Amino acid sequence: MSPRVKAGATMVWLTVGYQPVSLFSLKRSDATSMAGRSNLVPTPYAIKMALLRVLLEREGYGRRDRWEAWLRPQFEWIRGLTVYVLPPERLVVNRNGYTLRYYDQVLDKQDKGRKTLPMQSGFVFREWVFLEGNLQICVGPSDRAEVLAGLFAEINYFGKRGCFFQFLPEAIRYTAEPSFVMGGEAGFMVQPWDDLGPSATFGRINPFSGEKAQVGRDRVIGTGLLPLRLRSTGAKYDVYERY
Amino acid sequence: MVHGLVIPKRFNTYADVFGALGVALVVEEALRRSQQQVDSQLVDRGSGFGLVFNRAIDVAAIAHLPPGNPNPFPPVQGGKTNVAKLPLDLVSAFDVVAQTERRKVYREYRNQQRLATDRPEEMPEPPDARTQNGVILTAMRHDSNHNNLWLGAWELREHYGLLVAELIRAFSQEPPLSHEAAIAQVVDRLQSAGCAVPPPASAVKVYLPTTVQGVNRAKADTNKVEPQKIDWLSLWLIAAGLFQLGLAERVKVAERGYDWRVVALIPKDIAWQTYQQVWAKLRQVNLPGAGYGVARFDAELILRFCQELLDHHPAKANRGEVAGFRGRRRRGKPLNDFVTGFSGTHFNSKGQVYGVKEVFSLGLPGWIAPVDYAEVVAYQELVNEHLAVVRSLSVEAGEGELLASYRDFIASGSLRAFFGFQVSYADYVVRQLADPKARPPRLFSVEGLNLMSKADDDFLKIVQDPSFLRVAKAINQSTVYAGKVRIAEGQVIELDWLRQYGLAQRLSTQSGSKTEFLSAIADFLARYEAENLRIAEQLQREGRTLRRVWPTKADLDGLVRLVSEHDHGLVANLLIAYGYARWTKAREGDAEDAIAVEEADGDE
Repeated sequence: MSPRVKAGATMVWLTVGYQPVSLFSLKRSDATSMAGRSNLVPTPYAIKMALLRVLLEREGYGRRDRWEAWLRPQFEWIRGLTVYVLPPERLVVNRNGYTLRYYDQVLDKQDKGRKTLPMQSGFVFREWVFLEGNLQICVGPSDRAEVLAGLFAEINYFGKRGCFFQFLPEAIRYTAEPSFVMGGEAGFMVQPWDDLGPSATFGRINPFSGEKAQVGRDRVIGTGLLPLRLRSTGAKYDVYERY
Repeated sequence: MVHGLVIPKRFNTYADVFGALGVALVVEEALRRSQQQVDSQLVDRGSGFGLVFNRAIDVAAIAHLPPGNPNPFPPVQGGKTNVAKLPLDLVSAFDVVAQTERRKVYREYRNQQRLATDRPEEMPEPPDARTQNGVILTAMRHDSNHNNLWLGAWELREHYGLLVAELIRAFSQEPPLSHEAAIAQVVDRLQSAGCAVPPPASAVKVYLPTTVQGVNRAKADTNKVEPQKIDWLSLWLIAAGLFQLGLAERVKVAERGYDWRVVALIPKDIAWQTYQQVWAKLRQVNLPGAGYGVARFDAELILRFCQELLDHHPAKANRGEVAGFRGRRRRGKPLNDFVTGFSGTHFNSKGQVYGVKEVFSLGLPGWIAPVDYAEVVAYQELVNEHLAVVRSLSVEAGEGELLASYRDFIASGSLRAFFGFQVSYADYVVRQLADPKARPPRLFSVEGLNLMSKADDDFLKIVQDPSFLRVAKAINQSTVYAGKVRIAEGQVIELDWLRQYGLAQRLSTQSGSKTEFLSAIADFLARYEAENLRIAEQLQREGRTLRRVWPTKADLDGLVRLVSEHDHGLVANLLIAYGYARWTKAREGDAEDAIAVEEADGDE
């Protein structure tokens, strides 16, 4: 265990904890909307986007006069963070099929003059993950760990909207080294580990901007090795346990 | 010199398994061509599948192999497949139409063999294990994708040795490269050597089910549907694994509705040769029935696979080892120690096209763990018994929930999941027994339940207790063997004692509380005793004695002790399981035994 260090010290790692209070779902980046296999835990990309959302909601309005000058260093600071995630002790993945109404691209192309968005009905596949225990996130290194802790405290969901997590103030730790890392030991579970690319800009990842985001440049998809073992499986569920 | 490979997992679907199997197939063929006698073991290392060789392989010898067809699978040719690009004068395609006919003839023969008393003349040749894999490719219009992947490798035949050697080098690095990095390294080195590696290909849903057509964007700025692509080499390896070692079956899901279910067998620690043998036999001659719904297909798949794997279990050899399994320490290990289970995808028919309805996995029973030959035989009988129960149920007869419940139990790997099914099945058993027109239900035997209980010490302590056994027998005699019972040839006799209905449900609902459960049992025993007294008195007048188990106060005390020492829910569940089981052995002239005889004859 790394010794406890002062939050104001240079380049500190911050560990925070969350208690999941609803089911979690976050579509894997290699899956399409029709077969939305879920990640088991939030990815660094999702965590950084949650940090960014909280930062913008808290300070964005007040900084609108010098928006670009303020946002750029903030974005780069968050973008440069390294994120490790420790899953809870147990996870249960529930598999479901739904009938949804979704955008009909073919019909839209056939009739450009339509005034309404054409929709079609069909079934989609989704997964919901029940997390038993607390989720831990270790981020750093940063010289603004206390600011970071303040942002984490305001996050109440990761992944799909409504996947709520309760921040645990007593779980905050500042350490000189990461309190845990994600290694390549045998028996680990693999999931896509999406992160912001080193050259990503806010404009490119902002859904409201016209700039194009590119996989491999703005969103980098690595390999996440989670210390999880598949304990049991059935047609409708998977049960994982942490090592 | 290379001692083993690690093929990292990437997709968390059956594509990971098929990709690893594709590598194993390519490497196996290269070792054969380079005349290297090497056995290999498939091992699941969590983050990847390992292929461990029993001796180091010479990669340089493989690199210098003469030109040859790198494809470990043939191209497919359906009725409408465009084969203009294929060099059919040099290689033969997998004729889906002809193979389907062959399969039909074989299945027809099997059906006749089961129904007719006199056997038809000569047994036709069993079908190719890959027949349905060819059919699904043509049915889903993926035959051209499959053939293009084949053709891409065919174009590389001049560089066969280099292709395989680079694959081995990429997947044998220490520390292991990620899947993407390994593939990129192979492509890079092939291109450096002047090979034209095919470009990324369409990531069709049969290979990568989560990339089925839909929205996939780097950011949520539009809901535009774009085609998904993936590198050719990964897709080629997946295609090889799927065609050669996948199991595809068209499963009936409605009156006129058929869906496709495709599964891969996930290796855990098993010899490559054994993996192929066991799996090929199941796919060729022991296929699960596909005409009775998805749950029955899954349950039969697991049970039939257990049959095949038990045939190869190391415990089958009294001394020495069965080829393909490492060491004597493997005796007594559960089946899911060799193979994790199945990973699959359910493709739902939407008229002309198929959509991905479900990405699923199924486990194997962890409680089947024979230690010697006698136990292998006993477990085989047990699996046959379970198979008979499953085959007696049908979705069309409204037994879909029972089948789904059984599937959940057998796929979970856990013995405790059995009870959820058994409570519903107990009700079904009594309902069937009470209906004079219904088929007699299949019952689990007490011997089989004893064998299952061996896997858990808690279970053993309970089921060996004499009080437990007497109370369970009393339940049996007031439910299964009571009221009107059917004897052989459709005759029905009425026994003196009445059948109790809803007892399993009552005990199950009261099992949440120790006090309520004991009071339910006490209530049942009181009624049972009152009936015994009434009948005994009547028989006494006729000079006969009552041949029925008669639990005493000591038995009730024994049960109270069991409930206080163990989980009362477990005791209740075991009582239901044993209470609704088949207890008897055949004895002439005994009506009770006649039930067992008819049950044995009543199999499909």
